[in-house]
Amino acid sequence: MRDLELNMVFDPSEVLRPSSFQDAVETLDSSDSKIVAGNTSLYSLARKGRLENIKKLVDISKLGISYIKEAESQTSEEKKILVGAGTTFQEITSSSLINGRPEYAGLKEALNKSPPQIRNVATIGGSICSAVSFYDLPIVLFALGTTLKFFSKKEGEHLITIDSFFQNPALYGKSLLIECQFSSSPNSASSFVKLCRRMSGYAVAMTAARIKLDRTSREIDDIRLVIGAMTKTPQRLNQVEEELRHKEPSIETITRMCEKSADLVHDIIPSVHASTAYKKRVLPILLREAITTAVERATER
Amino acid sequence: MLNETRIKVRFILNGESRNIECMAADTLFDTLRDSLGTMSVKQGCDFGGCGVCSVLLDGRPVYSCLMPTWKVEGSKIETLEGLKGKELMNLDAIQQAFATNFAQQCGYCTPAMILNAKALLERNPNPSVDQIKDALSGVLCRCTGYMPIVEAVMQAAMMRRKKTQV
Repeated sequence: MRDLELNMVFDPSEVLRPSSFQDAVETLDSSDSKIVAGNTSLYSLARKGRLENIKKLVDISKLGISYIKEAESQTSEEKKILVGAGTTFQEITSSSLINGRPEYAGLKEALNKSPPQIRNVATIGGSICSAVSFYDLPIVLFALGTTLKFFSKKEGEHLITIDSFFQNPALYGKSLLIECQFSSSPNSASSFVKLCRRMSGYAVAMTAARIKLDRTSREIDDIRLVIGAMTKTPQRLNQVEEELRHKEPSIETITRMCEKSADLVHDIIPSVHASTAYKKRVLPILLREAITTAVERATER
Repeated sequence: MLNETRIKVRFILNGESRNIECMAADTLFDTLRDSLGTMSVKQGCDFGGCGVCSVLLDGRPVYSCLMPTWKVEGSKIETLEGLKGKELMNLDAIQQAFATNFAQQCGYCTPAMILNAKALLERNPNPSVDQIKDALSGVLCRCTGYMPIVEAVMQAAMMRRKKTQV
Protein backbone atom coordinates (compact mmCIF):
# COMPACT_ATOMS: atom_id res chain seq x y z
CA MET A 1 0.00 0.00 0.00
CA ARG A 2 1.35 3.44 -0.83
CA ASP A 3 1.71 6.20 1.70
CA LEU A 4 -0.66 8.56 -0.10
CA GLU A 5 -0.01 11.45 2.27
CA LEU A 6 3.70 11.23 1.42
CA ASN A 7 3.05 10.68 -2.28
CA MET A 8 0.98 13.86 -2.47
CA VAL A 9 4.16 15.86 -1.81
CA PHE A 10 6.87 13.45 -2.99
CA ASP A 11 6.46 11.34 -6.09
CA PRO A 12 9.74 10.68 -7.90
CA SER A 13 9.45 8.46 -10.97
CA GLU A 14 12.93 6.96 -11.24
CA VAL A 15 16.19 6.18 -9.50
CA LEU A 16 19.38 6.96 -11.43
CA ARG A 17 22.61 5.14 -10.56
CA PRO A 18 25.51 6.98 -12.24
CA SER A 19 28.80 5.12 -12.43
CA SER A 20 31.09 8.13 -12.92
CA PHE A 21 31.44 11.61 -11.41
CA GLN A 22 30.75 13.09 -14.85
CA ASP A 23 27.48 11.16 -15.18
CA ALA A 24 26.48 12.17 -11.63
CA VAL A 25 26.92 15.90 -12.20
CA GLU A 26 25.11 15.64 -15.57
CA THR A 27 22.00 14.61 -13.62
CA LEU A 28 22.22 17.83 -11.60
CA ASP A 29 21.60 19.93 -14.70
CA SER A 30 17.88 19.45 -14.34
CA SER A 31 16.12 20.96 -11.35
CA ASP A 32 13.97 17.85 -10.83
CA SER A 33 16.81 15.59 -9.62
CA LYS A 34 18.26 15.14 -6.15
CA ILE A 35 21.32 13.28 -4.94
CA VAL A 36 20.64 10.83 -2.13
CA ALA A 37 23.39 9.41 0.07
CA GLY A 38 22.41 8.17 3.54
CA ASN A 39 18.76 9.23 3.12
CA THR A 40 18.46 10.48 6.70
CA SER A 41 16.90 13.78 5.67
CA LEU A 42 15.22 12.72 2.40
CA TYR A 43 11.80 11.82 3.82
CA SER A 44 11.85 14.60 6.42
CA LEU A 45 12.27 17.15 3.64
CA ALA A 46 9.70 15.34 1.50
CA ARG A 47 7.03 15.33 4.20
CA LYS A 48 7.58 19.06 4.68
CA GLY A 49 6.75 19.53 0.98
CA ARG A 50 10.25 20.63 0.00
CA LEU A 51 10.80 17.97 -2.68
CA GLU A 52 7.55 18.34 -4.59
CA ASN A 53 9.29 18.96 -7.92
CA ILE A 54 11.79 16.09 -7.55
CA LYS A 55 11.27 13.39 -10.18
CA LYS A 56 14.70 11.70 -10.21
CA LEU A 57 16.62 10.37 -7.23
CA VAL A 58 20.35 10.04 -7.88
CA ASP A 59 21.92 7.15 -5.98
CA ILE A 60 25.67 7.80 -5.64
CA SER A 61 26.52 4.57 -3.83
CA LYS A 62 28.20 3.10 -6.96
CA LEU A 63 30.75 5.91 -7.29
CA GLY A 64 33.38 4.32 -5.03
CA ILE A 65 33.45 7.19 -2.56
CA SER A 66 33.18 5.15 0.64
CA TYR A 67 36.66 4.94 2.15
CA ILE A 68 38.92 6.30 4.86
CA LYS A 69 42.68 6.26 4.36
CA GLU A 70 45.89 8.18 4.92
CA ALA A 71 47.19 10.31 2.05
CA GLU A 72 50.14 8.71 0.29
CA SER A 73 52.57 11.63 0.58
CA GLN A 74 52.89 12.45 4.26
CA THR A 75 55.31 14.64 6.15
CA SER A 76 56.45 13.61 9.61
CA GLU A 77 54.84 16.79 10.99
CA GLU A 78 51.45 16.52 9.36
CA LYS A 79 49.35 13.43 8.66
CA LYS A 80 46.51 13.90 6.20
CA ILE A 81 43.41 11.68 6.26
CA LEU A 82 41.15 11.30 3.22
CA VAL A 83 37.51 10.35 3.77
CA GLY A 84 35.23 9.59 0.82
CA ALA A 85 32.02 11.61 0.88
CA GLY A 86 29.94 8.42 0.92
CA THR A 87 31.62 7.05 4.06
CA THR A 88 29.17 6.42 6.90
CA PHE A 89 29.54 7.72 10.45
CA GLN A 90 29.96 4.12 11.60
CA GLU A 91 32.83 3.49 9.18
CA ILE A 92 34.59 6.62 10.44
CA THR A 93 34.16 5.92 14.17
CA SER A 94 35.39 2.35 13.79
CA SER A 95 38.50 3.36 11.81
CA SER A 96 41.89 2.91 13.47
CA LEU A 97 42.92 6.21 11.85
CA ILE A 98 40.42 8.03 14.11
CA ASN A 99 40.19 5.94 17.26
CA GLY A 100 42.35 6.93 20.22
CA ARG A 101 43.83 10.00 18.51
CA PRO A 102 43.35 13.25 20.47
CA GLU A 103 43.36 15.34 17.30
CA TYR A 104 40.16 13.56 16.22
CA ALA A 105 38.55 13.13 19.66
CA GLY A 106 36.04 15.90 18.86
CA LEU A 107 35.14 14.20 15.60
CA LYS A 108 34.40 10.94 17.39
CA GLU A 109 32.37 12.75 20.07
CA ALA A 110 30.20 14.40 17.43
CA LEU A 111 29.66 11.18 15.47
CA ASN A 112 28.71 9.23 18.60
CA LYS A 113 25.97 11.70 19.49
CA SER A 114 23.86 10.11 16.74
CA PRO A 115 22.08 6.84 17.51
CA PRO A 116 23.30 3.64 15.79
CA GLN A 117 20.41 3.73 13.29
CA ILE A 118 21.73 7.05 11.96
CA ARG A 119 25.45 6.19 12.28
CA ASN A 120 24.92 3.11 10.11
CA VAL A 121 23.59 5.04 7.11
CA ALA A 122 24.38 8.77 7.43
CA THR A 123 27.37 9.90 5.39
CA ILE A 124 29.99 12.58 5.99
CA GLY A 125 29.21 14.12 2.60
CA GLY A 126 25.49 14.26 3.24
CA SER A 127 25.94 16.01 6.55
CA ILE A 128 28.11 18.70 4.95
CA CYS A 129 26.02 19.22 1.82
CA SER A 130 22.85 19.60 3.87
CA ALA A 131 24.58 22.86 4.90
CA VAL A 132 22.56 23.38 8.06
CA SER A 133 23.86 24.88 11.25
CA PHE A 134 22.35 22.30 13.60
CA TYR A 135 24.08 19.10 12.38
CA ASP A 136 26.85 17.99 14.75
CA LEU A 137 29.47 16.66 12.35
CA PRO A 138 30.06 19.74 10.13
CA ILE A 139 30.84 21.83 13.22
CA VAL A 140 33.82 19.62 14.07
CA LEU A 141 34.92 19.28 10.45
CA PHE A 142 34.90 23.09 10.28
CA ALA A 143 37.03 23.26 13.43
CA LEU A 144 39.45 20.70 11.96
CA GLY A 145 39.97 22.97 8.94
CA THR A 146 38.70 20.36 6.51
CA THR A 147 39.34 20.70 2.80
CA LEU A 148 36.55 19.55 0.49
CA LYS A 149 37.12 17.97 -2.91
CA PHE A 150 34.27 18.69 -5.30
CA PHE A 151 33.67 17.57 -8.87
CA SER A 152 31.90 19.90 -11.27
CA LYS A 153 31.36 19.89 -15.04
CA LYS A 154 33.27 23.13 -15.44
CA GLU A 155 36.26 22.55 -13.15
CA GLY A 156 36.48 18.76 -12.79
CA GLU A 157 38.01 17.82 -9.44
CA HIS A 158 38.89 20.84 -7.32
CA LEU A 159 39.58 21.65 -3.68
CA ILE A 160 37.96 24.31 -1.53
CA THR A 161 38.18 25.04 2.19
CA ILE A 162 35.19 24.27 4.37
CA ASP A 163 35.30 27.96 5.38
CA SER A 164 34.57 28.94 1.75
CA PHE A 165 31.83 26.34 1.46
CA PHE A 166 29.92 27.60 4.49
CA GLN A 167 30.19 31.21 3.31
CA ASN A 168 27.84 30.31 0.44
CA PRO A 169 26.82 26.63 0.19
CA ALA A 170 24.35 27.40 -2.62
CA LEU A 171 27.31 27.95 -4.98
CA TYR A 172 28.03 24.23 -4.91
CA GLY A 173 24.50 23.01 -5.73
CA LYS A 174 25.58 21.71 -9.17
CA SER A 175 28.78 20.09 -7.86
CA LEU A 176 29.36 16.69 -6.33
CA LEU A 177 31.27 16.41 -3.05
CA ILE A 178 33.60 13.44 -3.42
CA GLU A 179 36.13 13.68 -0.57
CA CYS A 180 36.92 15.37 2.75
CA GLN A 181 40.53 15.88 3.78
CA PHE A 182 41.79 16.82 7.22
CA SER A 183 45.21 16.86 8.79
CA SER A 184 46.64 16.34 12.21
CA SER A 185 49.88 17.61 13.63
CA PRO A 186 51.79 16.82 16.82
CA ASN A 187 50.54 18.56 19.99
CA SER A 188 47.09 19.16 18.55
CA ALA A 189 43.70 18.00 19.85
CA SER A 190 40.02 18.64 19.23
CA SER A 191 36.79 18.64 21.25
CA PHE A 192 33.05 18.97 20.73
CA VAL A 193 30.46 20.20 23.24
CA LYS A 194 26.73 20.05 22.60
CA LEU A 195 23.81 21.39 24.59
CA CYS A 196 20.65 19.50 23.71
CA ARG A 197 17.39 18.23 25.16
CA ARG A 198 18.11 14.68 24.02
CA MET A 199 21.63 13.56 23.11
CA SER A 200 20.67 12.24 19.69
CA GLY A 201 18.41 15.23 19.00
CA TYR A 202 19.30 18.51 17.35
CA ALA A 203 21.50 20.85 19.35
CA VAL A 204 20.24 23.93 21.15
CA ALA A 205 23.80 25.21 20.86
CA MET A 206 27.21 23.62 20.25
CA THR A 207 30.88 24.42 19.95
CA ALA A 208 33.94 22.67 18.57
CA ALA A 209 37.59 23.49 19.12
CA ARG A 210 40.86 22.42 17.57
CA ILE A 211 44.00 23.56 19.34
CA LYS A 212 47.67 23.12 18.59
CA LEU A 213 50.15 23.86 21.37
CA ASP A 214 53.68 25.07 20.74
CA ARG A 215 56.09 22.21 21.37
CA THR A 216 58.46 24.17 23.62
CA SER A 217 56.57 27.12 25.11
CA ARG A 218 53.25 25.20 25.42
CA GLU A 219 51.45 28.37 24.34
CA ILE A 220 48.54 28.13 21.92
CA ASP A 221 50.20 27.95 18.52
CA ASP A 222 47.06 27.61 16.45
CA ILE A 223 43.35 27.53 17.31
CA ARG A 224 40.06 27.15 15.44
CA LEU A 225 36.73 27.68 17.23
CA VAL A 226 33.35 27.04 15.61
CA ILE A 227 29.79 27.46 16.86
CA GLY A 228 26.71 25.68 15.57
CA ALA A 229 22.93 25.90 16.02
CA MET A 230 23.31 29.55 17.00
CA THR A 231 23.64 31.34 13.66
CA LYS A 232 22.21 30.49 10.24
CA THR A 233 25.31 28.59 9.17
CA PRO A 234 28.21 27.28 11.30
CA GLN A 235 30.45 30.19 12.19
CA ARG A 236 34.10 30.61 13.17
CA LEU A 237 34.96 32.86 16.09
CA ASN A 238 37.93 34.59 14.44
CA GLN A 239 38.24 37.34 17.03
CA VAL A 240 38.30 34.97 19.99
CA GLU A 241 40.85 32.82 18.15
CA GLU A 242 43.03 35.85 17.54
CA GLU A 243 42.88 36.86 21.21
CA LEU A 244 43.93 33.39 22.35
CA ARG A 245 46.68 32.74 19.80
CA HIS A 246 50.20 32.78 21.31
CA LYS A 247 48.80 32.96 24.82
CA GLU A 248 49.38 30.54 27.64
CA PRO A 249 46.19 28.46 27.89
CA SER A 250 45.46 29.15 31.56
CA ILE A 251 41.89 28.79 32.78
CA GLU A 252 41.82 32.50 33.65
CA THR A 253 42.83 33.57 30.13
CA ILE A 254 40.40 31.16 28.51
CA THR A 255 37.50 32.22 30.77
CA ARG A 256 38.17 35.92 30.15
CA MET A 257 38.23 35.49 26.37
CA CYS A 258 35.16 33.27 26.33
CA GLU A 259 33.15 35.81 28.31
CA LYS A 260 33.75 38.28 25.50
CA SER A 261 32.49 35.84 22.87
CA ALA A 262 28.76 36.51 23.34
CA ASP A 263 29.28 40.17 22.42
CA LEU A 264 31.28 39.24 19.33
CA VAL A 265 28.55 37.15 17.69
CA HIS A 266 25.85 39.51 16.47
CA ASP A 267 23.54 37.31 14.45
CA ILE A 268 22.45 34.66 16.99
CA ILE A 269 19.01 33.37 16.05
CA PRO A 270 16.44 31.89 18.44
CA SER A 271 15.03 28.39 18.05
CA VAL A 272 11.92 26.70 19.40
CA HIS A 273 13.85 25.57 22.50
CA ALA A 274 16.05 28.58 23.21
CA SER A 275 15.83 32.35 22.91
CA THR A 276 18.64 34.51 21.59
CA ALA A 277 19.33 35.73 25.14
CA TYR A 278 19.63 32.16 26.40
CA LYS A 279 22.01 31.19 23.61
CA LYS A 280 24.15 34.24 24.36
CA ARG A 281 24.27 33.13 27.99
CA VAL A 282 25.40 29.57 27.24
CA LEU A 283 27.88 30.40 24.47
CA PRO A 284 30.80 31.35 26.79
CA ILE A 285 30.17 28.28 28.96
CA LEU A 286 30.17 25.82 26.06
CA LEU A 287 33.13 27.53 24.48
CA ARG A 288 35.19 27.40 27.67
CA GLU A 289 34.45 23.69 28.04
CA ALA A 290 35.44 22.99 24.44
CA ILE A 291 38.70 24.94 24.72
CA THR A 292 39.77 23.56 28.11
CA THR A 293 39.00 19.98 26.99
CA ALA A 294 41.04 20.40 23.80
CA VAL A 295 43.91 21.99 25.74
CA GLU A 296 43.91 19.13 28.26
CA ARG A 297 44.00 16.58 25.45
CA ALA A 298 46.81 18.40 23.63
CA THR A 299 48.79 18.73 26.87
CA GLU A 300 48.56 15.00 27.57
CA ARG A 301 50.15 14.12 24.22
CA MET B 1 -1.75 12.03 -10.94
CA LEU B 2 0.57 9.75 -9.01
CA ASN B 3 3.33 8.12 -11.01
CA GLU B 4 3.13 4.33 -11.27
CA THR B 5 6.67 3.48 -12.39
CA ARG B 6 7.77 0.36 -10.54
CA ILE B 7 11.26 -0.72 -9.52
CA LYS B 8 12.12 -4.40 -9.03
CA VAL B 9 13.93 -5.14 -5.76
CA ARG B 10 15.30 -8.44 -4.45
CA PHE B 11 16.34 -8.97 -0.84
CA ILE B 12 16.36 -11.56 1.93
CA LEU B 13 13.74 -11.06 4.63
CA ASN B 14 14.22 -13.18 7.74
CA GLY B 15 16.06 -15.83 5.71
CA GLU B 16 13.56 -15.95 2.85
CA SER B 17 14.24 -14.54 -0.60
CA ARG B 18 11.78 -11.82 -1.67
CA ASN B 19 11.21 -10.29 -5.10
CA ILE B 20 9.00 -7.26 -4.99
CA GLU B 21 8.13 -4.16 -6.98
CA CYS B 22 8.10 -0.72 -5.38
CA MET B 23 7.84 2.95 -6.26
CA ALA B 24 10.86 5.25 -5.99
CA ALA B 25 9.32 7.01 -2.98
CA ASP B 26 8.32 3.88 -1.04
CA THR B 27 9.93 3.44 2.36
CA LEU B 28 11.13 0.09 3.65
CA PHE B 29 8.65 0.56 6.49
CA ASP B 30 5.69 0.66 4.09
CA THR B 31 7.00 -2.30 2.13
CA LEU B 32 7.63 -4.47 5.18
CA ARG B 33 4.41 -3.73 6.96
CA ASP B 34 1.88 -3.20 4.20
CA SER B 35 3.21 -5.36 1.37
CA LEU B 36 4.95 -8.15 3.29
CA GLY B 37 2.91 -8.28 6.49
CA THR B 38 5.77 -8.01 9.01
CA MET B 39 3.63 -6.43 11.69
CA SER B 40 6.34 -6.25 14.39
CA VAL B 41 7.68 -3.17 12.60
CA LYS B 42 5.79 -0.30 14.21
CA GLN B 43 4.86 3.12 12.90
CA GLY B 44 6.00 6.05 15.00
CA CYS B 45 7.17 9.51 14.08
CA ASP B 46 8.10 8.89 10.38
CA PHE B 47 11.10 11.21 10.92
CA GLY B 48 13.74 8.88 12.40
CA GLY B 49 13.16 10.21 15.89
CA CYS B 50 11.45 7.44 17.87
CA GLY B 51 13.05 4.26 16.54
CA VAL B 52 10.05 1.91 16.77
CA CYS B 53 10.37 1.14 13.05
CA SER B 54 13.96 -0.17 13.49
CA VAL B 55 14.97 -3.25 11.52
CA LEU B 56 18.36 -4.88 10.93
CA LEU B 57 19.93 -4.25 7.54
CA ASP B 58 22.84 -6.65 7.02
CA GLY B 59 23.02 -7.04 10.79
CA ARG B 60 22.98 -3.34 11.67
CA PRO B 61 19.97 -1.35 12.92
CA VAL B 62 18.42 1.25 10.62
CA TYR B 63 15.22 3.29 10.69
CA SER B 64 12.93 1.67 8.11
CA CYS B 65 10.89 4.89 7.86
CA LEU B 66 13.95 6.67 6.43
CA MET B 67 15.12 3.86 4.15
CA PRO B 68 13.92 3.82 0.53
CA THR B 69 12.92 0.28 -0.43
CA TRP B 70 15.02 0.34 -3.61
CA LYS B 71 18.10 0.94 -1.44
CA VAL B 72 17.96 -2.54 0.15
CA GLU B 73 18.54 -4.40 -3.13
CA GLY B 74 20.64 -7.49 -2.39
CA SER B 75 20.60 -6.96 1.39
CA LYS B 76 19.52 -9.09 4.32
CA ILE B 77 16.67 -7.65 6.40
CA GLU B 78 15.78 -8.98 9.85
CA THR B 79 12.69 -8.15 11.86
CA LEU B 80 11.43 -9.59 15.13
CA GLU B 81 9.61 -12.28 13.15
CA GLY B 82 13.03 -13.63 12.16
CA LEU B 83 14.19 -14.37 15.69
CA LYS B 84 14.25 -18.09 16.22
CA GLY B 85 11.84 -19.36 18.83
CA LYS B 86 8.54 -17.93 17.69
CA GLU B 87 6.60 -20.29 19.95
CA LEU B 88 5.58 -19.06 23.40
CA MET B 89 7.77 -21.52 25.31
CA ASN B 90 10.69 -21.39 22.88
CA LEU B 91 11.83 -17.80 23.03
CA ASP B 92 15.15 -16.35 21.97
CA ALA B 93 17.46 -15.47 24.90
CA ILE B 94 16.79 -11.73 24.44
CA GLN B 95 13.03 -12.30 24.38
CA GLN B 96 13.27 -14.47 27.53
CA ALA B 97 15.32 -11.82 29.32
CA PHE B 98 12.82 -9.09 28.38
CA ALA B 99 9.98 -11.19 29.81
CA THR B 100 11.89 -12.07 33.00
CA ASN B 101 12.87 -8.46 33.68
CA PHE B 102 9.43 -6.98 32.86
CA ALA B 103 11.21 -4.96 30.20
CA GLN B 104 8.04 -4.20 28.29
CA GLN B 105 4.83 -2.50 29.29
CA CYS B 106 2.71 -1.46 26.31
CA GLY B 107 5.16 -3.36 24.08
CA TYR B 108 5.14 -0.89 21.21
CA CYS B 109 8.91 -0.26 21.29
CA THR B 110 9.82 -3.82 22.30
CA PRO B 111 10.50 -5.29 18.81
CA ALA B 112 12.86 -2.40 18.06
CA MET B 113 14.56 -2.68 21.47
CA ILE B 114 15.11 -6.43 20.96
CA LEU B 115 16.53 -5.98 17.45
CA ASN B 116 18.91 -3.26 18.63
CA ALA B 117 20.00 -5.51 21.51
CA LYS B 118 20.53 -8.38 19.05
CA ALA B 119 22.70 -6.22 16.78
CA LEU B 120 24.80 -5.22 19.80
CA LEU B 121 25.20 -8.73 21.23
CA GLU B 122 26.15 -10.22 17.85
CA ARG B 123 29.14 -7.85 17.74
CA ASN B 124 29.86 -7.50 21.43
CA PRO B 125 28.89 -10.52 23.58
CA ASN B 126 29.90 -8.81 26.83
CA PRO B 127 28.79 -5.16 26.63
CA SER B 128 29.08 -2.58 29.40
CA VAL B 129 26.03 -0.65 30.64
CA ASP B 130 27.20 2.40 28.68
CA GLN B 131 27.52 0.36 25.51
CA ILE B 132 24.00 -1.00 26.00
CA LYS B 133 22.64 2.51 26.57
CA ASP B 134 24.36 3.67 23.39
CA ALA B 135 22.97 0.74 21.40
CA LEU B 136 19.42 1.49 22.61
CA SER B 137 19.74 5.27 22.33
CA GLY B 138 17.87 5.39 19.04
CA VAL B 139 14.63 3.90 20.40
CA LEU B 140 12.24 5.78 22.68
CA CYS B 141 10.24 3.98 25.37
CA ARG B 142 7.49 6.09 26.87
CA CYS B 143 6.25 3.75 29.61
CA THR B 144 8.66 1.11 30.96
CA GLY B 145 11.57 3.28 31.92
CA TYR B 146 14.91 2.23 30.55
CA MET B 147 16.52 0.38 33.47
CA PRO B 148 14.54 -2.89 33.11
CA ILE B 149 15.43 -2.87 29.41
CA VAL B 150 19.14 -2.35 30.12
CA GLU B 151 19.00 -5.10 32.77
CA ALA B 152 17.27 -7.42 30.30
CA VAL B 153 20.04 -6.90 27.75
CA MET B 154 22.68 -7.57 30.44
CA GLN B 155 20.91 -10.81 31.33
CA ALA B 156 20.48 -11.80 27.69
CA ALA B 157 24.19 -11.27 27.14
CA MET B 158 24.96 -13.56 30.09
CA MET B 159 22.52 -16.21 28.83
CA ARG B 160 24.02 -16.14 25.35
CA ARG B 161 27.58 -16.39 26.73
CA LYS B 162 26.63 -19.38 28.90
CA LYS B 163 25.01 -21.08 25.92
CA THR B 164 28.14 -20.53 23.84
CA GLN B 165 30.34 -21.97 26.60
CA VAL B 166 28.18 -25.14 26.82
